[in-house]
Amino acid sequence: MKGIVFVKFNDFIEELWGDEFWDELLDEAELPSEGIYTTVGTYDDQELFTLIGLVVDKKNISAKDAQFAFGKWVFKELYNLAPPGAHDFKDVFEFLRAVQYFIHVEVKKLNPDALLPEFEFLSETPNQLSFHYQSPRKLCYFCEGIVHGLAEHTGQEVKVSQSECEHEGDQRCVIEVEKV
Amino acid sequence: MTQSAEPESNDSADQSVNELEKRIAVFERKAIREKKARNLAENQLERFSLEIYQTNQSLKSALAFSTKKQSELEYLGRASLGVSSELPLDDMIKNMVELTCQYCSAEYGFYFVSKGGAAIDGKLNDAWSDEHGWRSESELQ
Repeated sequence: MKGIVFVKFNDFIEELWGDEFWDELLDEAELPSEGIYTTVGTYDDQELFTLIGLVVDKKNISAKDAQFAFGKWVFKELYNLAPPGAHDFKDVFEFLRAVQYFIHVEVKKLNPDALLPEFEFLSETPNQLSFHYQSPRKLCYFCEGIVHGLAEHTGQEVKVSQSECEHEGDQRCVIEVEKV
Repeated sequence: MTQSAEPESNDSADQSVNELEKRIAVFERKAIREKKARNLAENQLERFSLEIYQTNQSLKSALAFSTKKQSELEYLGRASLGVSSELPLDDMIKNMVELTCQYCSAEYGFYFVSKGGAAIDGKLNDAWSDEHGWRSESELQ
């Protein structure tokens, strides 16, 4: 996974619970990278899952809530780093379609080996959009959080849910976004 | 009262020293991580920029090579067109002289035909120049 995710996760945890807590996580996680993250590096996905697992244990929250909260928080951070042209969106649905057709293309240009989630759009009405979230990382709750962060950015109110989810025994994850 | 207060204040002093030491240890580990991260990032950037430089160099030489090949092919293509044309032999050879001069970036060119060591044909007095085309020797002087 790209280093930016780890660097931002570090910022997120420190902002929420302070640098002592982050230090404690690293001490217990015994990560191959020792928690030395840079945005230009790539790190094992497992490191993020280990860190999230520790947060879940220590703070007594669910993995779902942890991923969701991080996703919601990280949107604005990633948005600020997005390539030129990625900022001309005013609508959640418009942006979600652009992620697939525009932003992921930009990411691939700079990082040809990047493993990105695929969105398969299933249906769209003016107020409802549903898409199949496809990623071997199975970070659908993180994705839900990002959609919320996006809506916060565009100033829209949305309801995000999953009509199907791999974590609930379904074959795939289908994320439903509804404007309210 | 005073007797019991003293050890208590020592305790709280010890406690705050402990807390400060803990904070310092956290900061120290953080500083070490930051420094290592910076070194990693710098090394990576050095490596990336070297790769970019090397790729750029090989692209440049590949471009130079293919540009040269392209001009050779153009020359050969035009030369073979000239040979297969219906023009009189004299004109055909003149065209060939022009073409060859342009290909070699030569400023002047001329031709003659010889047999047994003696010139038998060709315009020995005519020469082609990049600037003026075909001119007689006297005109060129």
